Amino acid sequence: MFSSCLFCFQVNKSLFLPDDILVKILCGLSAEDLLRCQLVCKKWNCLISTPQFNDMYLNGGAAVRRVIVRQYGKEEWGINILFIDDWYKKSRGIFKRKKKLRRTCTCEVLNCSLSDIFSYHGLLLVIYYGSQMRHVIFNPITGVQLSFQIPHTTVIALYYHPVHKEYYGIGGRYLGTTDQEFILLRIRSVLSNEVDFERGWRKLNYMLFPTPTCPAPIVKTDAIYWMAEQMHPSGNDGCCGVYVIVFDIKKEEFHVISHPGERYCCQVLEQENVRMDLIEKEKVLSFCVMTFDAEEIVKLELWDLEDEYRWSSSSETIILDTKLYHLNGSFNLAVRVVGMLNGELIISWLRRGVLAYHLQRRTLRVLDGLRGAHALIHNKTTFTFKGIPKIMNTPHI
Amino acid sequence: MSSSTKFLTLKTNDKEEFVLDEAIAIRSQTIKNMVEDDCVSNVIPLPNVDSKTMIKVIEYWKKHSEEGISKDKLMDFDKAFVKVDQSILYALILAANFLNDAEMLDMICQEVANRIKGKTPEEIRKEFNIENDFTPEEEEEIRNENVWAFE
Repeated sequence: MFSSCLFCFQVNKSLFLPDDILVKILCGLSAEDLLRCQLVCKKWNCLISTPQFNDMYLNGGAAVRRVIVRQYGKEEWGINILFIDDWYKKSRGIFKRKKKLRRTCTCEVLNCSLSDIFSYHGLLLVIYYGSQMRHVIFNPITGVQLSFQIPHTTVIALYYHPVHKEYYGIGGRYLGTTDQEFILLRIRSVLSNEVDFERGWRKLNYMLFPTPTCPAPIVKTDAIYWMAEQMHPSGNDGCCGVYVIVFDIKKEEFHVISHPGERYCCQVLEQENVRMDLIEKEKVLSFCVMTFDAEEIVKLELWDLEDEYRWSSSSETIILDTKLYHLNGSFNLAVRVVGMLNGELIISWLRRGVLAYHLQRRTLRVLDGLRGAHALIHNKTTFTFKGIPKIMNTPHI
Repeated sequence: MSSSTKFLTLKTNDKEEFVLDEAIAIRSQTIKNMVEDDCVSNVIPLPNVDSKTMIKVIEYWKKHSEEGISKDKLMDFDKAFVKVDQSILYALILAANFLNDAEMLDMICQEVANRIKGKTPEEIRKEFNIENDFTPEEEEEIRNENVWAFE
């Protein structure tokens, strides 16, 4: 009798969870769950609908779910973002995997190569080059999109400033053939459609632009890392033409750091196919060198960044015989490591599928339902891009 | 243990006292600040925590302070630790919040989130003892905005 009274008392007490804790709990949910939670009561709906919540949610990371982005249309261009619900259902004592596709939002862009879509901090940045270059920042959870253009300027990276609590972008442009300048853009709340310039253009002494074959920048709390490729490597001077560039967010400075691939690729560039990627491996930045041959044997070597500028001296080597996995499509060289998800390295292979290699269990699996063209990891989710047109048309503006 | 081991006495709101190694107790940022600011006399009062909850919190702190314990073991421990009644889970959240133990708070909040996952709004209301204060029209409006989520 007494214990049941005590229980009642505690249940009532449970109603008074402070808002900040409730927000913390809601941040751990997937977008689908959040939309259902909006219907629970007015208070929850209010909490979820605020821009502050959106900010926290995007930066805090959602529960893992899979997302497919599909490009559509011939006259009309855009991206559909579909969430895949992936859950297990128990029936007659057996767990069965269930899947459901749910369309959520559409980002209308004129025409772009999907390889120019990058994911930063929960936002998608789409760059498309037409007669005028345009940038679209798209928030897949709210469906809000912000479109802007700055003449001759490419936005290289987006980041969330830990002190100013605002989104910033780094824009870069060429001056003549060799000189480059950069500018910092303050993206005044992605919801209010405003872009500000933070101070003027500043000069740079080296290559800044990531080339399309380089992976998307990796944004950490205090620095952004990305790779840039020299357009015309100057031959046998011991330089492989790939740089790792670090942008210090607080100091607003750029550095070029050496990387393990420098020594390595000079020896092998001749005979083998080499790809270098920067990936984020459980909060650690890793440098990944991938070599592969026509026998479909893929060799991965991973080095971890130990402090700001130094890589681990030893590497982890993984050899994968992908022949065993009956991949669709013919062998091609468009394969890259896109990052880590739940302990698995995600490998995206153009027109062949998406592979996941579990680092501890040392197993490889093909992610079904993700036979897209390009995969990228977005806020702890995997994106695949489908239906890339073979020939890019010039956009109608 | 070295002779320099210091002990702290924590007193919960139901007047129960717990003697704890300082090294373990400072997992709580609140207690750590008190110790660092030298405002600890003999007994630290914890007006927002009851003894039943404190026993659980100390169990968690002790396990997470064990030397050389493997990650897997800790994960198993955490899993079992949160397998409790909703009311105890709430008490733990409030305690972790008051004691300012971010690691523990994150872990329990994630557990509550896991309990929300995949549930319908009605099921969530029942679980959390929340009253539906929407009018049917308001509810319909939100439903229409996000049709796909309720299929």
